Amino acid sequence: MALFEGYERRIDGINEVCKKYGIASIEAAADICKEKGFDPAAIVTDLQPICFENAKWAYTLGAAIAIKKGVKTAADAARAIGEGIQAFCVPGSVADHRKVGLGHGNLAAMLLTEDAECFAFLAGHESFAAAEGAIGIAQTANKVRKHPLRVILNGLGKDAAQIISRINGFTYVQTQYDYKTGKVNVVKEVKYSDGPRAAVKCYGADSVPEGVAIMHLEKVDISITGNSTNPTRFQHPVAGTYKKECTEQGKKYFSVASGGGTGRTLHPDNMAAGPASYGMTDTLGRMHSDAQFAGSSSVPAHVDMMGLIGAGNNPMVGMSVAVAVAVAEAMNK
Amino acid sequence: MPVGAGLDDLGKGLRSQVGTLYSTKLKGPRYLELAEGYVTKMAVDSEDRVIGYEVVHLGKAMEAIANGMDANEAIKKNTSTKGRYADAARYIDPRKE
Repeated sequence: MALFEGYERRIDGINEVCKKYGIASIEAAADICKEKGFDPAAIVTDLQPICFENAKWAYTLGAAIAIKKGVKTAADAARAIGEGIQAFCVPGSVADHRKVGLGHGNLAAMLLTEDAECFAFLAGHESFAAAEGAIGIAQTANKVRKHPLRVILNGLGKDAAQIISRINGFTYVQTQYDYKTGKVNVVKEVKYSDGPRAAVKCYGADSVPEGVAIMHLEKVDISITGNSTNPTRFQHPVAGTYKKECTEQGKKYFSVASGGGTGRTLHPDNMAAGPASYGMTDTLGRMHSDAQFAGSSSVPAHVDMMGLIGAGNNPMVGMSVAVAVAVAEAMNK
Repeated sequence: MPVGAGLDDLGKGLRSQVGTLYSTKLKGPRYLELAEGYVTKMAVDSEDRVIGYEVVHLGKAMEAIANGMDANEAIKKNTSTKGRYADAARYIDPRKE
């Protein structure tokens, strides 16, 4: 069996990057990390157990590049990791066109510098992928930051928010939106664990206006959307409206659309155009996003289909941050 | 896109996309089967709300058995827990309670 999925379509690009950084082969990248005392593949598997082999190798290559570059900070490590993921992009694919690998590196770098104060997973609450990403960030980012990064989940549905909090050990924040005044009030907070996971606040909104109000309440400055359930009803309208209001207020807000690409369709009307079409979720993302990824926020196979690697875009945010912090810790030992 | 890429959705240890859950208002939800496999135990908190579960990844277990591993060992090796399983107030058998 090949070392990882899509080996034939990826290996030329990978070898080129290995050569550029003086890494003998993709297998040698694992040895470079091992020598420094950490295993990127284990970190990646821990965050999304259903990820593909190619995801583990992409992060291994990225970490090896960071070591070869002699990076000192986690943010620089994150950018190097982006180069590793980019090397795995299938030539000519959506992920390749959009430079999604580099995009992931840059996003993680933003989360690891002091500029960002609050990062939101803006999800339909359809999957636990946002939780996987949030756990990765919550457990590691603040080891290297001076001011802790706040991480929130903001999604449609209060029940879903509470279930996700309960199962993952986050803090559930119950809110009530006042439709007359446009203010959102916190009714209660339920902490479901002790430790770093409890620092993740999980909100459930009843509507788009409440979702936007939650973004303002938490002063979110970077967010990533979920891709599938409810994108037209919740996450894209919330991101777009918040973007507009931030622009009016002169506030910086960096919006990332996690999904999209070809074949990422929603309804029969755009499915009729076949798997080569850019679906509605892609179109919605383009309307507000500063950066757009491809595939799915959660399903590894869908991200792999877009030519990146087999890991959900949301968990990948956590993976990039966690591996970058591991590199920085190993380099500063 | 390579032919057959859609099958990747099932993940490693290809099996089924069908899950079976049974739920009553009185007792709450009971997970019997999920896409990843057979649910053996559910973890509930002091309010009897689900906070995690234990599951046997049947696809992977069957693969191991086909490769000659002892069936008991294969099941043990492919049993894992999800959520805050360790923090439970008590564990229940979703088929009996």
